Amino acid sequence: MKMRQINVAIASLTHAHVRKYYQTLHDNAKLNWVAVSCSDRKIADHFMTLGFDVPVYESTEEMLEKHPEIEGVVIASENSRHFGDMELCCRYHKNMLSMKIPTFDLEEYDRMIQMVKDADVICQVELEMHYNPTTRRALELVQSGTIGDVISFNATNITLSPVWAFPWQGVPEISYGRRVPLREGDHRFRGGALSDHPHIFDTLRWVTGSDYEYVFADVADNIRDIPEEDVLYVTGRMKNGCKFLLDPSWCRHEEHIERPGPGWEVFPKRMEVNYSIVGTKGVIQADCFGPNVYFNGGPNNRYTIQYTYFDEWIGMMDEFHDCIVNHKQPKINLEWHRGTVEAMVKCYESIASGSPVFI
Amino acid sequence: MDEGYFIPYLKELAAKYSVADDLNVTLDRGRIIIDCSKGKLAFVYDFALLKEGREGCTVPLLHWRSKRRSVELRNIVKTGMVEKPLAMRIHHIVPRGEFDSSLQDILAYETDLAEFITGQKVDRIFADFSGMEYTNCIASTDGNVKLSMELGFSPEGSEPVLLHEIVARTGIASDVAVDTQTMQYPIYVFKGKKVEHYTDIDNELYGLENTQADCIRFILQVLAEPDCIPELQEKGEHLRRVWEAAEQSSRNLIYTGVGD
Repeated sequence: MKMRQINVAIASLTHAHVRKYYQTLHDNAKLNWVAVSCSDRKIADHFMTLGFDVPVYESTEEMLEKHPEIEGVVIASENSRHFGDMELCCRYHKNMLSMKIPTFDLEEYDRMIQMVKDADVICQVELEMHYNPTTRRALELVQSGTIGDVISFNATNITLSPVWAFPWQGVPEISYGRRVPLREGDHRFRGGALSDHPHIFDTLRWVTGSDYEYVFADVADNIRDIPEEDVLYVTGRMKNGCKFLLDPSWCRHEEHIERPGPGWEVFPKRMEVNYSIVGTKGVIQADCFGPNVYFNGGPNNRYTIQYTYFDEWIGMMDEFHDCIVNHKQPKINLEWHRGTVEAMVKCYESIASGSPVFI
Repeated sequence: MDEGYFIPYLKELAAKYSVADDLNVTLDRGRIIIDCSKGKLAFVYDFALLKEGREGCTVPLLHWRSKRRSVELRNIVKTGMVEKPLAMRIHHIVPRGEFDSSLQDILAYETDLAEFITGQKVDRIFADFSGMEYTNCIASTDGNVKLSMELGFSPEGSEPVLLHEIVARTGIASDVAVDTQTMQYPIYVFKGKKVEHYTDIDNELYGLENTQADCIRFILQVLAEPDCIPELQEKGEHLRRVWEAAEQSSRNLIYTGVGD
């Protein structure tokens, strides 16, 4: 049977993850990459140097008007623009793949859910760790009872800070959606490292099969002179009694370069997702992005890790294709993901109050 | 405790470095009692015993401070190789053993080690215990360094899960290699299904298990500089209060101040 190809476009090229889609959209025969939109001239000019034979439009609406054949849109804009982009896609009855944070405004989130329902379109949220083989294996090991009952699920999602290459992530109004002080007397605002790292908050729900009972978070002084948090820790308990400790920090140092590429790292490993799952019969230690290969050399002659796999986007786009072809909502849909975003918002509330916040 | 090695090595090094004469060593449960020219001292490593009455002079045995890796991590911070520590990630999940017999022992170990490395003092803690087997903690120091601690026990025979990573404003210092998940050993022997490893890192105390070697080094240091005893006793009291604050926090789910 001939595989049905779907027509896909990218709306905006400003999200840090957008470059991950280029190769998948180019290589995957299930996907026909139709167009991209980008209002930032500099970013658009750079995209055009990459050699993908795809037209670039200044506005998403213009792109949708010119290409009625588009079936799915990867919304790769800044967080504060997601609602507007989704509204537009719903108006044109386009299926969507949203970046990892649709919005932190839960009232706006609910309107997104309703909008998608009313338009009867697919909306998948980009939480690519579900398609990571180490995560998949860890989940299977836990669910098959290898370590007995889970006492605590601990995870790190620690990275360098993207704010120099993606400046919008350093602007609270754009990253978090509005300017909310971290806590009284603190000069920083919500929208930093925590806002960048929903994955482990989501994986915890999948692995435990439960939802958050309470969260407690505290934030360290900053590594960087930026107006948002960059190092914090989160602990708490799930409704099934499982404890957790999460580290969603930007605690790896980086060079302040404009575009991700060689020499970005100061610390050799720029990104880590690790699990430490403690059970009644054993402990699982898992590194989702290792082991790798190592070198020292250009451009800064630093000992650096060269990652050996980043395949998550392949599986994720396969699912997006399958959901559009069969008109079904994906496993990471807006309604599911709301519970994750809500827990993250409660972490900010915990930082502000200095107390645990029950959900 | 390996009496066959421990006591002779302790006596030998005490004599070699002239730290004390007429050394008598008694190994008791959770304590090492030293009777020597400098008096009678009870070095306690079962931290639940610290609230009990004193025999001679009770000193908390902070053996982790003598670990080479601890000393070097401290030096990295102290000499400004990484500047302004902001946070510290700690994993300590091990099988129960003589030196890790309770969560209180592990919390004392990790609290003091963090204080030793950062030069600060824990003044608040949030903990949520899973019985007496496991707890997660977030703690804060008087200099606002945040500690994330995963502390507990794994089944007998398990490899230890240990990590001490200092996140500083100018860099990272850690006792676990980048892109690895566990402690590494100096020697591995591969023969069939079983992998053997050896931990020899102290030639002067060759053959002695690492923590026992650390105990000897710590005791020798105290005997060499007995003026530090009151400070160590105060530290023991502080560690007991941290434990009490953690227990209280777990009961009430409150970020609890350490009542020093």
